[in-house]
Amino acid sequence: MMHSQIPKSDEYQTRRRWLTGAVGTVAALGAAPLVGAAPVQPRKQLLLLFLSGGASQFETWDPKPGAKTGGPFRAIPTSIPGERIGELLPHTAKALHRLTVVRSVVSNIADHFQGHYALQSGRIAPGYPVLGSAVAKLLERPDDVLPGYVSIRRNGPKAYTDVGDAGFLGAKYDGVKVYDNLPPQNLVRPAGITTPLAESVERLRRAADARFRQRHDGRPIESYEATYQQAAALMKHREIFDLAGESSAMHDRYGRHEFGQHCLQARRLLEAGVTCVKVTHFDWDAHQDNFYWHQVRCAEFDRTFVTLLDDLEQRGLLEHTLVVVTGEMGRTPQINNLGGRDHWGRAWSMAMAGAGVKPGVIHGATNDLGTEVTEDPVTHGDLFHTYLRALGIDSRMDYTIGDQTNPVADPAAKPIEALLA
Amino acid sequence: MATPPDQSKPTREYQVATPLLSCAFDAGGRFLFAGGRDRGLVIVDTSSGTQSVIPGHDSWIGSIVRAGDGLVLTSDYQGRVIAWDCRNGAPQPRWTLEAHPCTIYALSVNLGSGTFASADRDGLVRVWRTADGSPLGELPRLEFPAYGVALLPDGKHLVTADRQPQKPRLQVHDLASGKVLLSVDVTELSGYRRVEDIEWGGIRGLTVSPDGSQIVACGRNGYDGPACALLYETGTGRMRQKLASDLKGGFYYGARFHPNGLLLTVGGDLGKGELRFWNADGAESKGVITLPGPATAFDIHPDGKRFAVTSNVGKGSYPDSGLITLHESPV
Repeated sequence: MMHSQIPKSDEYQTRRRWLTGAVGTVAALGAAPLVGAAPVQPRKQLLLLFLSGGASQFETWDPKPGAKTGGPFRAIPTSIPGERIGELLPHTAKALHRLTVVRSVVSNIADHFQGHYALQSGRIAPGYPVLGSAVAKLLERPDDVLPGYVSIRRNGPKAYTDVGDAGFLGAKYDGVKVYDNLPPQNLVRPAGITTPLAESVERLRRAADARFRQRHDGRPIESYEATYQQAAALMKHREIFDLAGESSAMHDRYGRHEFGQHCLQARRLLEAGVTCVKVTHFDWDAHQDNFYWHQVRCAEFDRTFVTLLDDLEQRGLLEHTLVVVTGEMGRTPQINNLGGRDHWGRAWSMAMAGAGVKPGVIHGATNDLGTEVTEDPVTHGDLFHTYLRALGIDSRMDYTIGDQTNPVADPAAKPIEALLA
Repeated sequence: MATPPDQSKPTREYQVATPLLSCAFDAGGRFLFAGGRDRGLVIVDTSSGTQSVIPGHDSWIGSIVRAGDGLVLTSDYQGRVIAWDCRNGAPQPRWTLEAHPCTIYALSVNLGSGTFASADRDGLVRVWRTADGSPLGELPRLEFPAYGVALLPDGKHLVTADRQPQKPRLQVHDLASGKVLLSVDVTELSGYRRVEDIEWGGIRGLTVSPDGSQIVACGRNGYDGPACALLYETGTGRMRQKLASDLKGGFYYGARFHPNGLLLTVGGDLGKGELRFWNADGAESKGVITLPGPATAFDIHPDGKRFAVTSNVGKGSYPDSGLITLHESPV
């Protein structure tokens, strides 16, 4: 139960276009409608591009060429007169007027695990839902078919990538994890299992659940059941995962590397109606050879990111989709002995685009060496409030679950009004 | 040996505001060029003892080599190469070349053929005429960044060191055909750790012996070290010797064969560096000069009686400034 109304005025303005797009999408996918047949309001959506490991603000959004901390790369002009970003992002530079950049993030967290949690939940204290889970809950509709939150990542060894979940919202909002763009596994009945046998197993499972509920709190079972149903719902629409249906040119535009293909998958999931999609871009943790790694990672990110914005815009999705680009921290101004930059949470950058935020805004600033924020410091809690507000959610409201209430966002933080459209 | 290496004292020291990555004397031996994490090129006039900084690069200066015809070549992280003419007093640029679209990691000169090679982050290796910087050709692109390049003295072959994860690689190429004649995985210099999925190692320095029969690959033996150099036979790719530092951690960043036959290596970690002398086959350490920080580069003066070392100084794991030391050669 929510105690606050979600603003609707802007949503009605885009309703017709959204519905047109949704019908087109469904037709293109050759799938059954993914939402109920009743008229629906166009829903805000969220795309989180998480630069896991922590991208360097110096090589991306807040370059300091010529400074002792600046590194070897230049700053280049952008589509915002007088503003420059790192030369490793030439495509993004041309699209900067479409973005909202924050150069003054002060999270003071220099640890992967804590940073992953805090930058997604807006909190330090454990147990709160991460952004994807929170938004999936807050924008949930009773006739939803697909899961509210899908996280796309490499099936790799980075443990901290999986930090954070739905917290007290329960497993239903944990989200479905998609590894390497493959649909959820082990949901297809093996060839040797007959329909009668499968039905028997299902009856047995339900009976066991019912018996458990008689003696225990049934909420865990309901949560797991919900998760199973979400994965099964995705499986009923396996065509979402069939990227072969995309043209070769589209694959090229997104890039045929892992991040490009994951972003292409993300667009398909958003298009199909998933509320929140997270794509993890790996290997930004450049403790050594920072400048080599950032050339590689930025080259992947740069073109794919702008392609994604273009594609979302052309399909009518960007106006109701908030795109967030962040990692769990920034990187040190000092360059270490191995040519790397280490963990840094005192002054770093992130970016947004799309629904609910002002385009062409560069917020905050750092000093000449990039060691400290000098204007408009922003915390991870402030960012979390801002994301929610941009999605049309009152970030001051509470969750009420059972007899407990919890603030949706940290009451000690606040939305960054200057960034909100 | 005139003086035991470990008793050699620096004849002169020069402080530099930023960490250093490379150095070389000019052919006349009067000027020492040094560069690193700054756009300015440091020039030490060894005859007057003065130090100056000259512009020309827009990015970090990663590689400096002595070329023929009175030239010193410098390259940067933006792909630019500048040829500095030192025959008429102060160094002056003779030509400037936008040689690569990205970071140049290494240069190598062949004095006999009047050519030099450059290797970049995208795995592109190009060969040029030294006198005017005109292009002579390029190899088929390597699959991985090229960290090192060395032209063999025969003028027909070239060695590359690439950044293949978990298996940094040495390859011998035929310049005429571009074919790879030999490929060796140098797993001893990999520092890959699965827990982070990061390759911490790699080949950090590459050189060949004056007769071209041996290749030296520098780096660190595994994730924990020590700093290490490996000697390979050029013709067969067989590893002949492993030269390991007494220092824990750190890397060897460079090696050079002295005209008298000794092999010199430099490296270290922050707060500890060394220049070590080995006998010709690398089997025995003949002495070491300790330095206050990791030695990133060195060059032997054309007279063979002096050498220069660049090292870095700082706190924690962060080098903050550079140091150039000139030594009378103990060998």
